[in-house]
Amino acid sequence: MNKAEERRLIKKCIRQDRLAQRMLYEQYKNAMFSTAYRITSDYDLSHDVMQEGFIKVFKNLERFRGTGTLGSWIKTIIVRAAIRAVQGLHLHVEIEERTMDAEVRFDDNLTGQLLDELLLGLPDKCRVVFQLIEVEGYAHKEVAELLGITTGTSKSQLHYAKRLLKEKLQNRGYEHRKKG
Amino acid sequence: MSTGRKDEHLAQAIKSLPEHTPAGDAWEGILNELEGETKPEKQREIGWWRYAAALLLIASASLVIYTIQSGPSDIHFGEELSELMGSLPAESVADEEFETFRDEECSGFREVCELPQFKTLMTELTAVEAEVVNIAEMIETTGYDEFLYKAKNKADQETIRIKKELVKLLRG
Amino acid sequence: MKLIIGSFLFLMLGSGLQKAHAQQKLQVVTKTIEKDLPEVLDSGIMIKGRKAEVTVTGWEKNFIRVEMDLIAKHANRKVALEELNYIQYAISKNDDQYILRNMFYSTAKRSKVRSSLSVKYRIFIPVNQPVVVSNEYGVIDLLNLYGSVELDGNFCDVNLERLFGNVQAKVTYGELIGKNLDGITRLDLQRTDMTLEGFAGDVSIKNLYGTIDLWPSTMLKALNVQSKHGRVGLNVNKLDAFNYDVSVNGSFIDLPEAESRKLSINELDNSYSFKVENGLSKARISIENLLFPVKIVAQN
Repeated sequence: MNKAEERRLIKKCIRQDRLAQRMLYEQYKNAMFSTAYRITSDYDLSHDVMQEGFIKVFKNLERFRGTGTLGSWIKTIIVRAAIRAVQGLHLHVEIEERTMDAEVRFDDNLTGQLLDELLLGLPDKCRVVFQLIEVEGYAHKEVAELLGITTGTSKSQLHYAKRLLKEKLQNRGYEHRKKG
Repeated sequence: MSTGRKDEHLAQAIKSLPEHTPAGDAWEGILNELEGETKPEKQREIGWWRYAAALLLIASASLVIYTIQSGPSDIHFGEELSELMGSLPAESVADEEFETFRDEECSGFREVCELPQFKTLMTELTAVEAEVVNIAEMIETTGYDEFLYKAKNKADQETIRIKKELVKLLRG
Repeated sequence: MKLIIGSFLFLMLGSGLQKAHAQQKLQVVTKTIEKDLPEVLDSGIMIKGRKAEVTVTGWEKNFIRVEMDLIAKHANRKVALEELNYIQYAISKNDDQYILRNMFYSTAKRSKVRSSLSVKYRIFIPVNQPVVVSNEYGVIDLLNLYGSVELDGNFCDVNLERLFGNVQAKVTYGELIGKNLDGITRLDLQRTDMTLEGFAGDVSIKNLYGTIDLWPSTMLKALNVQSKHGRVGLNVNKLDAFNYDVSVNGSFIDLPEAESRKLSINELDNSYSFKVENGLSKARISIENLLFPVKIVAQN
């Protein structure tokens, strides 16, 4: 869809044209659902996030100024909704800072499919940080703001996520070799 | 600590992450909520939160009675008598009319629309409108009270001020 | 059952409002959390509030007391009690700082919250401890603190009283009242009205789109104001208590009658200036303002 078509679609959505709104939803639903799912790791909760997020999109579409793409504007709304969905559950805890050891790197046995599976199995906090930093491209400072944590915590949670992924990956790789 | 050098294998895996698809009936849920919130034509021109604001509370005169009951010792119950007040901004420039006027004036690449002063005002307007969205979000998640009423008023006044300046510039 | 009755009457809000006609009784459910933090940390305490009233008071004891009220109000007590759970809080610490924060979370199918939710923080802290506060849509009250203070208020009423250390404050869309500040004070105000009374030390203010009223004490060391699009009022006891370097572009300087001959006007660039030296030992007050006036009033 080019810019002019997109503008026309937005105008129709603002006028509550249901067909136009459906078109917009269909265009972005997979990308947004994937983001929501990887943040919440819960299929049902992700649907709630999508519903809340897209309602917010349609209610506030007239405020979209065209600075940045429509997709990234919608993504911001979905990310915030997903974080709210997952965030409230674990806050009455004392936060411990983890000290970080050597950098974690991956080799070529990490495929997209495998990464997807392993991500969903990570603990909430480090999974969310990994998704926001590595997949969505946020900076640590932005993630700190979004999650109400320090940048130090953001960095250590990212490191923790990578370490866990590496451990799980090594186990998987080992199992595959055994079967072969 | 990460040295910051990109891990190419990780980057490649991220690029090839599979897409997930929501359930086929997900749109129905969104549609139902949109239909449920559809308002008559004339009301739709008013932002949804203004409509909510007209129904909600501002504490003006209160009589507070605190009652401490037996039960969990850290939870207290009390009562407040509050006056229901609806409130609308004293003056408002309809959003749609302004947008149309601005788009029409700037569509022919008028010089005034390229002035740094104009662009600064537009940036300020975007920033204030982002605050308005944040306030609407807060109303949804925390309910409406004097803090948010005050915030909404301030944001509205600022929006009006900026729009007036823009209109002044556009009208020359 | 103990019954405590308090009654408060507030003034009706001003004009511009269209009033509806009903009174409603609200059930107020408050959960109070109290915690003493015995270890005093180098970086003190950070409070991240949202829709909160945050009060931090310095005291003589050597530990930190935290009291938090989580508050839900609704006509139906059951609803208020249920939605009280939507208020989340955390009290945590990293290596050298305590962090307190609150947020709001709805678990139930993303339905809109029905109650009015808010939080009150009451923090008592050793007077020399550093304090960092951020809050939006609420109130920040800081009293009796001698250490460093950093605050960031968005849509907040801010009250500062008896702060004697380094104060750095950024307030946007708010109102700030300061009394008896001394030390090094740096204020960055946007769309915020401010009154500062009886302030001393080294004070620097940036103002954009706000109205500011200043009442410096004779103990002031230096005052520097850079303002745009906002009225600046300076109220001094005696005009000769300070040195002045005041300039306004695109508006005027309003002076006491007796000083008006000291006003310089440059008609070419529509600028006004008022520069007076009353002695090297006296503090310098420098004010620059763009497009809005500066008014100087002497009480004697």
